[in-house]
Amino acid sequence: MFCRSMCSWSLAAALLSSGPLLAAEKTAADLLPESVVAYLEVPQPAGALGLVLDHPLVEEIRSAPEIEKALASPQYAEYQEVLAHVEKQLGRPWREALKSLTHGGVHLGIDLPTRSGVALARGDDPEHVAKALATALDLVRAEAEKRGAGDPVKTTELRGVSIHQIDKVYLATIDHWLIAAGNPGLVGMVLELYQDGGQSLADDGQFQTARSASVVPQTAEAPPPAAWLYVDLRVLRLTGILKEALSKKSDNPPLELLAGGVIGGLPAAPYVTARLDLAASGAKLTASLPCDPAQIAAKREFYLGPAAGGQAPPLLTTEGTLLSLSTYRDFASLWRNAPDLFDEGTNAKFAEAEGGLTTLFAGRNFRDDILGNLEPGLQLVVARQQFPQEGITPAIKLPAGAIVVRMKNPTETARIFKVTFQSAIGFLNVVGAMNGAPPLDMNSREVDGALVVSGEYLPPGAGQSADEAPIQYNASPTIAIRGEQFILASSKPLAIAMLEAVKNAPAAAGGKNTQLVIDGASAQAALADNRDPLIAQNMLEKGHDREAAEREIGGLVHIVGRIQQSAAELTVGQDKLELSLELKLAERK
Amino acid sequence: MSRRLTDADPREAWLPYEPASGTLSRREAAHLVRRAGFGAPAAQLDELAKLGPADATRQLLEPGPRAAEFDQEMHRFAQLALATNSPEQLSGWWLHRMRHTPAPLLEKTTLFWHGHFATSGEKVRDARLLLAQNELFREHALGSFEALVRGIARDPAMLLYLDSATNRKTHPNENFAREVMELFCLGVGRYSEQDIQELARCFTGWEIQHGAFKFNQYQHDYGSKTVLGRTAKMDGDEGLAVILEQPATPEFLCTKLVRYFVADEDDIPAELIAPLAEKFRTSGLTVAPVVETILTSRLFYSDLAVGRKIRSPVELAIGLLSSLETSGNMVQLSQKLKDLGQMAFFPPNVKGWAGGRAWINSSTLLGRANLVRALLENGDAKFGGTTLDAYFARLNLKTGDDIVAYLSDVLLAVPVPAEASQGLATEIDRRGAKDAAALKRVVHVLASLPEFQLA
Repeated sequence: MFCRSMCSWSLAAALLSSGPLLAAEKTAADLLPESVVAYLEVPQPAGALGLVLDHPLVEEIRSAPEIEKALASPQYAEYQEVLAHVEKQLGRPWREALKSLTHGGVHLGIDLPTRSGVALARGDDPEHVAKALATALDLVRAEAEKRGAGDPVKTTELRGVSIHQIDKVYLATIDHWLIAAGNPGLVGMVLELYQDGGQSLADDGQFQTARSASVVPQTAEAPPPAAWLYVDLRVLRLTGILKEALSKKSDNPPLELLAGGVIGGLPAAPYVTARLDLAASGAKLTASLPCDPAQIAAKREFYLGPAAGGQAPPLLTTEGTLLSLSTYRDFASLWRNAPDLFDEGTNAKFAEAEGGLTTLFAGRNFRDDILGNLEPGLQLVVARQQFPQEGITPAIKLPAGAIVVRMKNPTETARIFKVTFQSAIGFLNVVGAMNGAPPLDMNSREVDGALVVSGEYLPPGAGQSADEAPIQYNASPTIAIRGEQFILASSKPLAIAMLEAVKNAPAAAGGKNTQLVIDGASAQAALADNRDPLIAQNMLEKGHDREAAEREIGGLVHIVGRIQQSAAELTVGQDKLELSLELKLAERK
Repeated sequence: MSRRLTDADPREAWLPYEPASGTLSRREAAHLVRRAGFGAPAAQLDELAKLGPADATRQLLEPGPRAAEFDQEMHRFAQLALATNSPEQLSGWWLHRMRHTPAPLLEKTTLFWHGHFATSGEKVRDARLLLAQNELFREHALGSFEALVRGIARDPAMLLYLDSATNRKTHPNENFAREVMELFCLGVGRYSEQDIQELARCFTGWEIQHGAFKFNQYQHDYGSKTVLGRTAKMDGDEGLAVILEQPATPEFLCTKLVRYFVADEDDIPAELIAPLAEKFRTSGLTVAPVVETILTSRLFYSDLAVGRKIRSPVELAIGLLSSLETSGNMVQLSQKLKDLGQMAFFPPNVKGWAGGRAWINSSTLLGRANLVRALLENGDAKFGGTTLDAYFARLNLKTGDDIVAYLSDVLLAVPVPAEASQGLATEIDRRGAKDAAALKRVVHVLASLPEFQLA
């Protein structure tokens, strides 16, 4: 089985061979029928693969025990044997062969009428392309012979070109091009476009617009993407596939909060594109959805704000910040518009929750008096904690989290929040007492012009170590109120640090609906804080001895430390929504 | 008909076993390790086999140089279970401890006391309390039974399990008093209902508050009580003293210890127990001398003991892992052992595990075989830090006969039929001793045989 998959891989590698593209020659888009609804191009597969495989981080990952084990497995040895055979057949190392075979890029298309996929690869030399296909066919035949099966390759001719069928895959070469498709008709269409021309994907005006907007022109500062994806939503919408999926009301409030605005844009958007950029220093994926944000905002104001003008507040950071999130969301608007957004079952849960929350918030209507009294926008910070705190260090050290919101009517709302917080601490104490947990001692004081109300666990009792305290000692739930700002934090030090962070926050970046940043160094430090418990868990759950567990956890901590930063961003433009995900790697130390 | 403990001569049974060679054979060492621990690879067995029964047992009784360091490490590990307050995770922690302990007899005896003073995480969901009880068992496992009983009488997990968190003078709670007499010290029929009621009065005011023992002097009945014929103004400790001085106490405990360490038999003659009970009594109810007498005795190495116990699920799993120097996901293992009827920290009721033949039925027999396969085929499993074929090669086991003989020595209490072992040896020779998958299949077959179920 593994050998078969390796043969398929070799086949794919062979498919990726081609030669330099001449300006007058046809592009892949010229060879794909107009009915293609999804198109992916990888202009330099060998370059992208080389960037990944030769990256120092990959070398470090290879030394991880799990990977070392996989590399020492018989399956990997079998794969190496197959690879050596392929190299022998091709007469050169596979990396070199791949570079030659994919010189003009690899292009994939999904065709709706035939419900099939097609892959095109352009090599640097027709002979190399033909040899690659012949090698692949030989490998498949040899594998079948080993299994005692007959010749798995059926060869027919179409428009003067030999078509080789292996199971449900049809392969052919024509000049520099190698074609692989899941349907013989699709191969025929490609051959027809190559030989006679005709209406192709390249002739589609929308495709041209999309491609020129995100792939060309290329400059030294803006090199071509490692991969580019185009999905035509028009046809999908006409067929009803998209319509059916998007016409249903949601039953998932968290998903609506996270991606409601983007989902709202899909019904009217003509297409979606995505590009992947790779560099030694990291990777970035950018997806773009052309649409009218103001029109989306008419239904989902909670997500985008009035006329799509809602902006995320600035990202907050403090010492040891592991994660910082800032987003424009109007929770009161979401709650008010729930009947239009969610199904009946979910709305029933909203009504039920509203009753309970109204009780908790001293009889105030939760939707109108509580959520309605908050300005849109939320900032969240998760930060590594420093221990000991008040002489106590928990055995397992968890990061602390804090939420920052702004109140519309601070005088009244702050009082309600304070009373609710006090009630919650009292409730926790009652529940905790029933379970033998230590009580939270409530204190309030003024810090930097803010009222800080906190609940702190009484020190561990006799027989309990203050250096390896139970997990609840990570928490000292706190609220801080200053002017219109309201901070709810899982720990008092973080709440106080957030007061400073809010004061020093930069101005909000224009056009950003949501921003998220994860700091690799802090994540690494948070993991390192818990090195011993992680090792213990590894030994208990994987049965490793201490040495192997230390190596595995050490490797994990090291790899996480190689990530400098991960970021996600949703930008609202005049005529589009753009989502980007970025991973930045740290310099090797 | 096979001989039973009723056939043993009480005058000779507990005399020290003196092998003709002066030292134990490998199979005798394996028998000792299976009973006084869980199992060991041949190298450890051969080290023990250089000693006579008394020295070998003494070595197992001593904690060893690594014990303190190991205890510290286990304490750190336990914090994981405490952090998540998960009795299930704690169960995995204990299995890890049993597998890697440098003091297997201590751990085996701790497991005995866990079954004796059964408390279940099913009802007591506070991992901290269960761990504290487990540490109490370990602290006194081979020491003073009196200290252990006094500790358990104040143990929050036990009192919560027996619904005895409160005990007021107006309504004495009889639960703990009943179990102390019936299950912990005397046995059925050696006390009256009146004794239970009177003893319960001794424990009035003994309470659990916020997971800790408290004496509420306002709820204690300071009046005179009559327990087992003794009348005085007794408190709980004094009530326990009356029970501990009963002749029935050492008899009851020694009978259970013999059943645990020697043979799964319900009817153990009182005459056979009498010498042990006397030793227990004269040693001030210290456990180690009794256990030492049992493990060095002629009876222990006789056909009345060897292969006369059915491995409990924990013994089966930890024994296999220890004998082949391998390990696995202990948290998952504890769940699998639950299906076989023995999850550590989760005994079925206050009587603990019935043990013996109760471990085996058509369902658990199949489950045991599946468990063995799962342990062997766990992707992370290393045998002595390497693959199974390399492990056997390191032990210089080259042929099928070598490997089967080795496995029989370390895994089996009684030999398998020659035809079966020959078949397995042939299978290894046919596939080659470098085929790790085939070797695992052979171990699996061997460990699924009826003979492997015996200890």
